[in-house]
Amino acid sequence: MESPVPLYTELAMEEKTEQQVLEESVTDPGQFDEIVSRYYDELCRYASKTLGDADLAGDIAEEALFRCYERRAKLAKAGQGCRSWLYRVATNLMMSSFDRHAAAERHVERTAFSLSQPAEQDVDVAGQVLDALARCTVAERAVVTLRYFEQMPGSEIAHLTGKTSASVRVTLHRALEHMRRLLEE
Amino acid sequence: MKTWRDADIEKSLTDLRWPPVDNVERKQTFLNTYQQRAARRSAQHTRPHGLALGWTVACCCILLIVTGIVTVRTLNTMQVIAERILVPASTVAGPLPHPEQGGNGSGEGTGTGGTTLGWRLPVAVQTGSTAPFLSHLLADRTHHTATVAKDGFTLLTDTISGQILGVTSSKIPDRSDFNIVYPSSSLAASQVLPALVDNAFFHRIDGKVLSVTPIPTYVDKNATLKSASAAVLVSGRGGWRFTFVVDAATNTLLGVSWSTHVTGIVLSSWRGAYIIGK
Repeated sequence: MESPVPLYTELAMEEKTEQQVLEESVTDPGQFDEIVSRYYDELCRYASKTLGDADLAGDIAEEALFRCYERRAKLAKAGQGCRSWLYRVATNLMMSSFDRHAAAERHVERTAFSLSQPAEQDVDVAGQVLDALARCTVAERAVVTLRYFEQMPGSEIAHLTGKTSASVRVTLHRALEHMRRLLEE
Repeated sequence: MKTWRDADIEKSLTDLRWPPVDNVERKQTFLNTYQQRAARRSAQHTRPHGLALGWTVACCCILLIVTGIVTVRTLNTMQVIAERILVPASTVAGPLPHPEQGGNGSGEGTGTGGTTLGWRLPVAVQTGSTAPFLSHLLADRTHHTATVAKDGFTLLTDTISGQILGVTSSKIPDRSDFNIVYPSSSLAASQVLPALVDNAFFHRIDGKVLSVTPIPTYVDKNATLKSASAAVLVSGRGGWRFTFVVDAATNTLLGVSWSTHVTGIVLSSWRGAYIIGK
């Protein structure tokens, strides 16, 4: 029979809120590992799907977490956690560092990778949709990624990106409109 | 050509299967190194910040030193000026004796042309204290002049000789907005000032000094020839001209005559003395 102690400790870690971990990391920087563990994959996935570049996505996620580590005292003082802050920083980093044409090329190159395990859908249709998405703006792609790939509701996307729900709806509508025009060309 | 609906696009997006992001190794590397990287970056940031801070402090120090030197010089200049032109309140307002004359009575300084060293303020001045005046003392180094303000009087002074070059006053009993200006470097102008500024009639005419002429004598209402110091021609409202006769030595107004362009000279009386105008 296994000792209950590790289970209890694990449970305690799980129950720690993001804000608690952030506050503890101010005095004990090692606690920030918990934040990295929680959000590294999530941010990588978000950036990777938005940019279509796993390497660049890793860079974005690391830079966002790095900045969060440097500003953890201020974030802890603000009392709002850091998840939405991380997403906002990641989105801004993507928008500022993203070269549209180069990224479009990267995205096309990785289309095969993205569709390496297609479920039952038509590879051609998926490829066309991804190509159209690659030609949208980063802001539009970010919202589409969160909505359809991460299955987040509009309110959560608004919270994470620092926009209003109405703004998210408008961006999503424009993104789909944009994609339809591109697909029908 | 295929027609795409929003629902088609949404379904395609939703059905996409993304491979898991395989970055366990990279994540572990980041977990092991981010604190050291942060420390290095912090050190890199701190160095330029320290340099900038040092430069800022150095610039502030230089600025403070320069400001201090300028301030001390200005204060010294002001003190010298104030010592030259300000005298104790116990003394009567009037011209300061020239050092060579040695303070020989009331007749001193009544002549024209630089026989006095300055002018006593006809207001209360604290002995030996220049500090209250410093805030009202503005030196013009270019023209070697300074203005001193006190109790409604503003004096333009020569900072080299200490002489009063002109006076502005708003010290009027019944009209506080009244101002008289003596834009003259003539000694006579400053000599006749106290006699006029304390006079309510002079204030009432709302006049402007046109000229100050030294005169040796005048005739009073008894047709007696008497000695005077100056005649001040003042323009008033409605074309009136006033001539004030002043004894600058005693700071008294001896009489006044007035006239209009139409009627010519009209004799009148004031303060018990008739004078003949021009």
